[in-house]
Amino acid sequence: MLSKGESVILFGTIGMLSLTLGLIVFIIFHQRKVIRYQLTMQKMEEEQQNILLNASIRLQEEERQRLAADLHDDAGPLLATARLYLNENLVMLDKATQVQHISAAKSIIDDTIHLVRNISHSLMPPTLKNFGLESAVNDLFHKISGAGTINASCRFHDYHERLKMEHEQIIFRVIQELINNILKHSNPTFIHVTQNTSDESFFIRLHHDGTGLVQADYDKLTKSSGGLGLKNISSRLKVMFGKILFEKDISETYYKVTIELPKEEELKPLQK
Amino acid sequence: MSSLSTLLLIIFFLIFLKRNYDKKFWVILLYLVASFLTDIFIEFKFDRFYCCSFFTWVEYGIFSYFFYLTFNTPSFKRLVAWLFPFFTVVLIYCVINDYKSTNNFDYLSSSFESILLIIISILFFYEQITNPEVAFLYSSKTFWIICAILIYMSATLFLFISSSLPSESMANNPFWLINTVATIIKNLLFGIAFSKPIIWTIDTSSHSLNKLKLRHQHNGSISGDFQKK
Repeated sequence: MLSKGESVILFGTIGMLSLTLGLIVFIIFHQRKVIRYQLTMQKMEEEQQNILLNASIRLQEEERQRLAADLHDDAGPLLATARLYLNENLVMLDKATQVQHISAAKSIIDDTIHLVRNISHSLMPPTLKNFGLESAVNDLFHKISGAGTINASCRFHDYHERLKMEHEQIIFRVIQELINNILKHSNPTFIHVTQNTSDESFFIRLHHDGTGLVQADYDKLTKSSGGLGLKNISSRLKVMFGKILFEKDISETYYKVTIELPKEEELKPLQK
Repeated sequence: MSSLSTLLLIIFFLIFLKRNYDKKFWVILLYLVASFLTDIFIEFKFDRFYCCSFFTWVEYGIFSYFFYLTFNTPSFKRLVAWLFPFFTVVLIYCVINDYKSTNNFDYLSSSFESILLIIISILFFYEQITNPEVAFLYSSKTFWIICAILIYMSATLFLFISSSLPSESMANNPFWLINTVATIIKNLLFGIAFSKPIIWTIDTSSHSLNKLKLRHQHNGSISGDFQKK
């Protein structure tokens, strides 16, 4: 029969050892679970990066194909026609025909210059380069409103200084992509863009009354094989450590897209 | 028996010296030497109470320093550093007031030491859960050393507490065998730790995901801000 002291020692030691071993086993299993979770997250992040990279490569290829098609189908025939007018037989022709041919060739060359300028502007809008984001967005909206079916307007509240060129270009491309999507899929009657800032962030908000996306749709589309434009938006924003939020207004009358970007001074430490 | 296992472990450490070149493991070697010397002093009929009290202080100090070197969280490091003088004060108080058992054992300071080291060991596991450093905890040498400390302290806690009971049987208590067995288990776990190869991890100040990625990529080749574990 065990005495009181001996019982305390025996049961106390067994209890403490059981607790200790239980704790060690729990820690090992829990830590393995945490590591497995972290590795899964890492894998998912890598997959997402791959999807975005592929989307960006595909988009670049599509853009190249479009440019090649524009140059081949439009500029090529125009220049070939101009060459026909200016062939070696031109000197053999009478004066009046010569003038007529030169005039026709000049007109064709003017058209070609116009076409090349359009292609160049689609690659890099001169308004964006020379006057900044606000003017470029205004210009884009002016063209949309000019068609008469959609009322497009924009208002920049805190845009007193221009951002870095590459940042303005990224923001403009994102807005352009969003507008393209809205025009293609949403059938809106108005589009309105506002810009403002907080202490740390630069905001662009886009409202429209067409059919739109909510965040769950956006997340789904950026992870699927489709939604090339949205993937393009996502990868562009990633460069600037930006966020995008798609939501429906509480009044359920319009959709809202909010782009939040860190201010340039906030962006520097992030880029390091 | 336990002294012999300690001596064997010291030899084992020296055999695997290349794997245990880190300061942390030298601290453990110092503890083993202190433990062995204490056993010898007690054998040579030095006052058991003073020998045990001094060894308890040395043991706590060495383990505290080991934990101090192991923790990455500054608040835990500070806690360990502050607990040492506090423990010293408690131990001096116990020695002055002669808190000893019938078999001349410093039961109060030893029990207090066990409780503190159990708490500190649990803090280590908490730190490992919140900020894991290696993919598999049991592949780290530190993990085995802390397991050894935790198991030894848990196994002997009730023995130390119970030795305060004024029972005559406690003087030649057969349960003191628990201490011998716990010491042997502790030495075995230390042996496992000493025989484990070094694992390289990057500094904990970096993001944990990057850390894991780097560890997988640099499996063998070492670069960057790495630490031994």
